[in-house]
Amino acid sequence: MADNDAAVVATIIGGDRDAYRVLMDRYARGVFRLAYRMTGNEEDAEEVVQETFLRAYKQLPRWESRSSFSTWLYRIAANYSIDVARQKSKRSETSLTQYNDDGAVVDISQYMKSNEPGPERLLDSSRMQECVTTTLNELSSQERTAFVLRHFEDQSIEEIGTALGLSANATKQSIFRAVKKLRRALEPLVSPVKVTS
Amino acid sequence: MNHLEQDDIILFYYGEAPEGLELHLKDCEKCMSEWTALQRTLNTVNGCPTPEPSADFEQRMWTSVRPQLCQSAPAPRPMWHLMAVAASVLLMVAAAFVLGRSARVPTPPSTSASLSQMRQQLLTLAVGDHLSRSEAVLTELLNTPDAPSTNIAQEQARAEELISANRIFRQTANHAGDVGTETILEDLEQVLLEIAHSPTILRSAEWKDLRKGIEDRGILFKVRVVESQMKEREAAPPESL
Repeated sequence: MADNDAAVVATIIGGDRDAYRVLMDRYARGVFRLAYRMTGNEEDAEEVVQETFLRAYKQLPRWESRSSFSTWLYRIAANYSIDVARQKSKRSETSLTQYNDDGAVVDISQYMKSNEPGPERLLDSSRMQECVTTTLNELSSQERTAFVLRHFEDQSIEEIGTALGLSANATKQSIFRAVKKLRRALEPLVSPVKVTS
Repeated sequence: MNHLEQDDIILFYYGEAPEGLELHLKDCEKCMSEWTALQRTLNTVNGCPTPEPSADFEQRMWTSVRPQLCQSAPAPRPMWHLMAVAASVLLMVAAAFVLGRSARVPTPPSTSASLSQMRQQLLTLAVGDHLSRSEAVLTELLNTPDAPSTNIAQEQARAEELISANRIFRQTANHAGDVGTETILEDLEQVLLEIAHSPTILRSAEWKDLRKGIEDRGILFKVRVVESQMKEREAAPPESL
């Protein structure tokens, strides 16, 4: 695939703009998934996809085949997602209060504070998803990007550090902080119920 | 017994922990329990789906992006390094050419032969140096120990630089009619391209494939042979004219 991408890039640089459609068909969904995990909503994720492909197009000759095309593209997407997330956080303060599908208010702080998991909560996967989403939303953009790239995109700490302009140690610390926050929020929900006789 | 730090267990989950940690986990109930809890939590995160875009998603994205491509051409790649390499080689060839032309007016056969010899020596010197640098990259790469993931970013950057120079040397060898040098440079270019186009972070299997590809071509051996032949040529006294 990497060689194939290089050939397509060469065609585009040679003047065939429509060949870019091949790369979009190949990677737009992957970029969307990454962007969704970074931004938390579909509208922003689509904006990230469009902007990522535009930025990548302008920089195509700089790709240089040093990394796989997808890794390079995801790096652009992650950086732009950070910009989008920052703009959003300026506009609105994050709240622990979320709305479920029925429009009802769900205050997930009750789960985060409690250390006593009840079986009804263990079974409630939609609430679990809400809790994951909310906790991810509460991470700093650096923690979130580092975590998403490591956890979902399987990028190495070194690659993530390069993408974010961080040292390996700073990258690790961002991932550690993200994981610890997720544990604090989720463990009460996922711990097995201890049956006492 | 010293227990593992949570950070180490997180690194272990992502396959980036130092060696020996697994052995400790097997023997330590407390750390194993910590590991199991972490695994359970992070696996839960995996279970949270992302929405799947509609079937026409790619078409919509393309429709939105396509008109803007016309307004923004790809920015040209910085060429300074390639230019520097090209300039040095062109200077070398031009020097030999100019000397050749000026010597052609009253051309004694011995002068013409010595200029041809000079061109060959210049090429030998430049290619010899190029092969040494290529050999260093290949040796480093082939000596990299097997690991779950191998980062070859540095080797790729050096391979990229060598590819640019290699193309120019190959063309120069072709013009000079030096078939042997041209052939080895062709083989070398294929290997350098393979390195440059590989993923930067290679998983164990990918790394083995790349290494096998390089070893199967026997390129390192060929480079060493040609390099030593060139050194002999450099060291040899000039032929009597």
